[in-house]
Amino acid sequence: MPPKSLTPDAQDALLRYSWPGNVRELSNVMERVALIDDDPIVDAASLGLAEPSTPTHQLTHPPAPVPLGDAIGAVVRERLLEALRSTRWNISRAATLLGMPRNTLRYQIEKHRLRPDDTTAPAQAADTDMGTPTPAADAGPVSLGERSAFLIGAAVGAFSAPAASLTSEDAEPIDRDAPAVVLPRWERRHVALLRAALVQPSENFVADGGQGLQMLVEKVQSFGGRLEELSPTGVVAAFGLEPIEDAPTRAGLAAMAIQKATQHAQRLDGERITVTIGVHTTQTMIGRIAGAVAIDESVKRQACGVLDELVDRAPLDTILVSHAAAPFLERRFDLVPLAVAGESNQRTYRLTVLTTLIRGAAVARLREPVTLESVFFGIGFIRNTRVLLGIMSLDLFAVLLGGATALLPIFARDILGTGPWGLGVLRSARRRSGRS
Amino acid sequence: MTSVLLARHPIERGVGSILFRTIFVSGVATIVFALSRHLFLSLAALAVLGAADVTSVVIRSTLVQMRTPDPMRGRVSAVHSLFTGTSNQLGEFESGLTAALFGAVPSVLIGGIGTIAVAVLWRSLFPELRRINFLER
Repeated sequence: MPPKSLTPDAQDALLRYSWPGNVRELSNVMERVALIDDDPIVDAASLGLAEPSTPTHQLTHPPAPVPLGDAIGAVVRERLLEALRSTRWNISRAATLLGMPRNTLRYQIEKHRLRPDDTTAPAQAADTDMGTPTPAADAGPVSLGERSAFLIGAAVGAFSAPAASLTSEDAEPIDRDAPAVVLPRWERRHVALLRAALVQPSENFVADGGQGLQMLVEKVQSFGGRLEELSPTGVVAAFGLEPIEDAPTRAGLAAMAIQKATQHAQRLDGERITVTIGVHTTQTMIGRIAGAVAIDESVKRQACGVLDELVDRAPLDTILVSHAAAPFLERRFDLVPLAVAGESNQRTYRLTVLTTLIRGAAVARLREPVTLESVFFGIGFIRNTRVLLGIMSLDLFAVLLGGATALLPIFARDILGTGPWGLGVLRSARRRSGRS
Repeated sequence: MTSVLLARHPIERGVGSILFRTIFVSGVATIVFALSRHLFLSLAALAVLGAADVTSVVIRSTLVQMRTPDPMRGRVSAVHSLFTGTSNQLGEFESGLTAALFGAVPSVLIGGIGTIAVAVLWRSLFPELRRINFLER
């Protein structure tokens, strides 16, 4: 990797920043800048450090944006409690009041852990329904060190309150029940999801403050990811919830940084923490409401299924990439195709090295064998990408129906009665302003 | 001329909306050309048709390039060129066929009305196209 130099304003920013995360935070920032930014000159903006007046002290101030699941969940919970209190916990009457079947109301009561003596705060829920349950979800209370627990709690947010499942279809019923709630704004976007699972952690892994887990959280956040799920032995993170172009690349870089950090920890401490990582991309609806952002819950569940399959298949200390994510990653990473297997019957790839780290190396090409599938992959890609499908089909019909130029000789001779010179003028009229 | 103008003043915002408007204008210009009996009106209609057409072609081809990930660009461009290449010839065949069946004027008229119908239909079938604001993602 070519050396990079810091501009004076970048040096100032580094000196002025208070570094609440100490040298590890500095290390993460430098790692991110080195991997993401291609420019050899690093300025203050590239460092992405907060101004001194508004420091990003995660340890003392929780992050401002509230996860969308929380926002919706809190409103739904409040509405349920209100109806139940007003009917003195008569399920039938409360269900009628809320306009939902009794069974649904019972499910909601169970889901939000509502009790007749419940007054204000939402129940603490360590496990959520934000995605596929993790194998360690039932592992019981976890005594994380105070610092890491707060950091992780602040990062995840959703784990301090029951989160509501959110799908794009949910928006209207929620709005009917609670007229004060603003409907989410949905937009379609490619999102990269990363699942990192710590495998066979040592016995004192949890008791020592969950440093391995803390490292996962820090690496994910350092590369702009947002935690979607957390268990004592792993995380699921999403990249690209905000409009950035290189979400899959950031997920790949975060995966490599996590892998490198665990290998480093093994060398230094002899700690046998190993990690397996899966990276997948999917096109999904992103919901925004009151500053909160969330992925369509049904799409996220599907994606988590793919990630689970990848992590289950991955050998220790490896990063596996799904078939959908491979085209987005092959330009910057070396991907080795693996045999087709698993329920999805899709080819997966092992991410081995960041090609730009190799000085003078040519951009690596995906070593994918030429098959009938790979030849027709372009057609499948267009079919599944609605913007491209729309543009190309529009192109087809617009050109097909605009074939009037073929009849210009007839118009010049029989209708406008101009003869050959008129035909020339007519042809040139269109060519001068546009194409023929 | 339109290409020079677009090079000097590139389209920066409201790309999706402009795309549908230019196709709509192409359809209207085609209808005007079909019904015109005056050379200068026909010339003006063809000039507008060409300008609208080149604008929509620039938008469509740029979007196809920009919305395709690098590794897929070759394959997607191949399919795109297949679409545009064949539709040109098919369009001329369609014009000839309808001219033989209904006459030259109804043939061009049908093409213009069809273009407007396609713009309206695609606007509702692909709302994500309408909402595209920038050429770059």
